[in-house]
Amino acid sequence: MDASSGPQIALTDKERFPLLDDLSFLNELRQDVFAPKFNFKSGDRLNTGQLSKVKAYQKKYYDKKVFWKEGQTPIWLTDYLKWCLKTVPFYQNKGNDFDSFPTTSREDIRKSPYLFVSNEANLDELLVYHTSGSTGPKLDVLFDAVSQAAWLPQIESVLKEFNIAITESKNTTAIALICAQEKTLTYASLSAYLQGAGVLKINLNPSDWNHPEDVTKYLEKYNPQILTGDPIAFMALLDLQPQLKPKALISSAMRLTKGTQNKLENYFKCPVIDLYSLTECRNIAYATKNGHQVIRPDLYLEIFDEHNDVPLPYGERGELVVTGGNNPFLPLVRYRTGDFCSLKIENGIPFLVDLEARNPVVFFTKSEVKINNIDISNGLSHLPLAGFKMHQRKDKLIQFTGYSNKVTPKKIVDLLQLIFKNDIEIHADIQKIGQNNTVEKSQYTSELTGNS
Amino acid sequence: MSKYDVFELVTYLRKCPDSFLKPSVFFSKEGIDSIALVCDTYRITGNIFLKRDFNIPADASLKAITDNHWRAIHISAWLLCHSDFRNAPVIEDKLYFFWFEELRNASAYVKFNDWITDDERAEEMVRLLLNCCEIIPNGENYDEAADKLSSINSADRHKVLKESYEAHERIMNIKREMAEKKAREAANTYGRE
Repeated sequence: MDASSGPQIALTDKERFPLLDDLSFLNELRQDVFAPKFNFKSGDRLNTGQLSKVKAYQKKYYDKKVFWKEGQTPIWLTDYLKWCLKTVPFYQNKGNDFDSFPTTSREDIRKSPYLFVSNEANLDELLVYHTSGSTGPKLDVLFDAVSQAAWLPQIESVLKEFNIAITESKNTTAIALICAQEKTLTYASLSAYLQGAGVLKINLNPSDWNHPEDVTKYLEKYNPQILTGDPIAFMALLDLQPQLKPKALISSAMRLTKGTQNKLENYFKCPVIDLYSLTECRNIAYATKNGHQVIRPDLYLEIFDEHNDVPLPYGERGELVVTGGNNPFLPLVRYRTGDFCSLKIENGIPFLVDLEARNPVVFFTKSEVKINNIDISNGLSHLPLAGFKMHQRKDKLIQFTGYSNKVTPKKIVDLLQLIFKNDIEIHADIQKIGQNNTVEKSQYTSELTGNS
Repeated sequence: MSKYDVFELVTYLRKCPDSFLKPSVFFSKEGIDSIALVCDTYRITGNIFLKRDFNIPADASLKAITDNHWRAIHISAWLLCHSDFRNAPVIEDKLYFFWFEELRNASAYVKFNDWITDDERAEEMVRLLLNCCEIIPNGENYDEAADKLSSINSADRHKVLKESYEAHERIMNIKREMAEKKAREAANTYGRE
């Protein structure tokens, strides 16, 4: 969110951290000699009851994850649908049979977010997040402190798969969200769920710091256990060569190529987890060799035909549709994510196979041979590209823009020619990654298939 | 004329004499002896003129009946004088529910004289009575009769309006809160989406 046009600081620290009496570590993070010029303040907002709800959520779903079996639905689904039909205006009068229940679109939420608020939701607890709209029109996402803090147990469950645990205590920085943008809100905060551990949101842009070298000094001093961000921000961080020892990097918002992942893992000596998440429901899955492994048992996932409200069988590729979640301000029933994959269940765990953001786009060689964008993603995945955009014009010319400090345009052209069977004209441009980038998420577009 | 014709019964109801519009003796010394009227109506409909004990609410419940509700009962007693309801013992045990449940609910939203001055309210009383007595109006089937009653039922209409109003109020409150909360800090963001 733009720092100048975004929300205003409006709370006291007591309101930000109802459960934390000792804010000395927060003050240290804010006032450190190397600290950035923080432009915002934030807290977890959790009171006693809400923290109990986050812990109950953790216990219910993450002590032992139980998903659903192929051909069946999760045990919570019937009660969840009944509750939605009874209390959420948008879902009323749409029938009461899940099998024939219609899908919901991002446009539905964008047009009338208030219709998705459960009548049982306490409006005093409402929080609003205004998305940038990098993958579509701007969207107001409504949530509460509990559903926001539920990010922590969800991620803890992923880290557990790597035998990693976040040290929960004050005087340690648990998480740092790294940005490399022109402008963004930045703050130091704490988490009551993590026993008062520090949470940072920082921007690598030199203009956010008193001295350019402060960014590495600050990060090295507080050495965050978990770094979160997108591939562009991580590659910008890598350029600074900070001496950090994170337990893990969690990359989201953009596709993480294998090449970028390898570079980050080699440098930071820790797992780099490629997380698939949506603003509308937060975390969904993370990348593994077998596809994206689903994280949350409180979400039921289906695959639907892109154009018709028809669920597709397991193994068939289509649009990912989500039901569930723990946000009383935006309970989802058959929400179309706009992302495409197929679904398989292995040993009781669902996997999203060949997950691609947004509509699948078909490209063409000069002699009309179809090239699927998945093949392009796979073909480029070993390169240390932090992100890229690819567009095919009506005259079939391919325009490619990549973000990297290592990859050359020639390398891109060579690889794409291989994929396009040496039957295409390609213009490739590689833009350097700085500490202040403005990069859009959208990857593939074409004037030939209408996905421009 | 066919039996239980809604138009015929509405026409009859609207001719209700002024004497039935008086308040109950519970509210005015000059008023109608409501209990006697109710018992007489039981006798007429059941054709049981020697019976003395009828189903009427206990004293405490009688005191809770409003003036408007009593007058609606008086008006309905006139309706029950129509020949269609005379000598119809099968409805005797249905009348209690009609008078003291359905008419009570409806009286919360209908002024007593509207039952005879307003066409739709007159039809509502006729249909309420027929429905309570499990009588299907002439020329209609069960579903048609239920639909027609539902479309003019004052209590249902009020409930719908109330729910609609509450839903509207809720949405306005959410919009107000959204505008306010959007301009203020929310809660920690831990990762990018």
